[in-house]
Amino acid sequence: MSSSLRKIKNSISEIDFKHYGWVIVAVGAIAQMIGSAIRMAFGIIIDPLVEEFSWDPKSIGIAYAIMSIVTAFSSPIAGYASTIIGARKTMYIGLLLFLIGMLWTALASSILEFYISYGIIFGFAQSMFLVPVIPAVAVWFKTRLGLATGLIIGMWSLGPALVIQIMGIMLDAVGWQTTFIVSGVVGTAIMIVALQFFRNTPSDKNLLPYGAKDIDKIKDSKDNKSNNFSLNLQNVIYKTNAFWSLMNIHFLGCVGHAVILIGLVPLMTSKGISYTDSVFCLTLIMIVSMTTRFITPILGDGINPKTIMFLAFLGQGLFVIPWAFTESKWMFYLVGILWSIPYGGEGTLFPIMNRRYYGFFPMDTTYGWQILAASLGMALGGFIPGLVFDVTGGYELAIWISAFFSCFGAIVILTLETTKKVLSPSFDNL
Amino acid sequence: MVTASKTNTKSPVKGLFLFFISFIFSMSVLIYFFAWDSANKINQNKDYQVSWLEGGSIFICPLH
Repeated sequence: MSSSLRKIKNSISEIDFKHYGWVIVAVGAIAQMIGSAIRMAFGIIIDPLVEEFSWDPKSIGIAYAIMSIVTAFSSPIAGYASTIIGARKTMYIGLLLFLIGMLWTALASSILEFYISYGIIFGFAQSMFLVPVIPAVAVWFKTRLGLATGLIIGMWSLGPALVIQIMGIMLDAVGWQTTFIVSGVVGTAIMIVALQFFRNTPSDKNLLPYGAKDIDKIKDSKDNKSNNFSLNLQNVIYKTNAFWSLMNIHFLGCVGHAVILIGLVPLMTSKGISYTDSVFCLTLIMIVSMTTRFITPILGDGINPKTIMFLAFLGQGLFVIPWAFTESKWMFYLVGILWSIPYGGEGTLFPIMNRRYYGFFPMDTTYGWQILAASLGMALGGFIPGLVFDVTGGYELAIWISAFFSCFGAIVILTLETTKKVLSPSFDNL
Repeated sequence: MVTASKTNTKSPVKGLFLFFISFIFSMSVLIYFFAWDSANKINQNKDYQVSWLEGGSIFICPLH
């Protein structure tokens, strides 16, 4: 056995899974699963809505756009709320909005009602639900943050895949309205139980964060006494290049992969590949990326997050290019597997980078801004393939645009400061 | 204790500049393709009524 493998084995055997932080990870994973399913469930309700109300699919799609925009712009608000009132209360607000949104969507009878219930209510619910999770987990882990966030971020792929299968079966059996009502009530009940175990900080449970020593506890209790500490630190963070660059990087990376996630199936079908085979390529990407979503934060935490992030962005940018020339189904699959490795790792290192740059701090607001940038990137990236097709009659140019955005993201990563030095000032000066 | 970094006393010029470049490039991509699409529609049908978005993109885009 090589020394590095032995090191990893020893490192895993040293993990203390009895620490309460892992309960927080489990609650976070459930929240991610339910929260991300809101977005993903949209695809399965389009046909029933067209059938029942004769609404135009394009008009129904506007609800999705409204939800994405509301989620984007409410993310910093969710982050700020989490800093001020705590992650638990913020998630309770998100849960209430989730329940209202599910029930109202099921009972909606006009398109305007649908825009409000799905677009606005769910938009807010999603940010209130998802933004506080990762920062809350970060507070619980002084070390092993990569493993903790990797487990949660892995749920971004696994959660929706499971929930959509269940909802799909229910939809066939009991109809879309009952599916939404039952999913809303069951999802809320599960989260109420899960949130009973959730604590905002280790001190709420009279514990130390994972990996912290007693001396850290003394320092933390002195430094984290008030919300003023968090807000002062946040003002300092706004003045760093890293804050703006990380937002920029998240935006660029999301444009890069949203173009592919939206445009790949139409690109493949335009080459004469069947719809089922094209969708399988997307499924393949989701499965492979799930593994790198889990592994990348661990690697980044252990090695150097800036280097890993650079490689992920560069890979995401370069590995899409063969698709512009590919005609065969198998080549699409092969490139898909190659591309999904960097794609899975691309968005997972932001909590680790925040920790390296700003130390052990409540990162809710910072993370909220990063999610705002990511959501806007997803919106722009989702828009590009259709626009390119309208003018060129093909999707090849969209592939080059995706490559450019990801590679530019890689260049911006190179301009970041080293992650070996914390950028935040002495806590005593705040 | 974490020590102060000189980076914090400066304005984040580099970060804001790169952010601005990304914003301008994204807007340029959108305007260019919107203008291209609108110009195609007008060329195909002389009586085509352009929306404010299509008209605006053609007005702003120097290439269409």
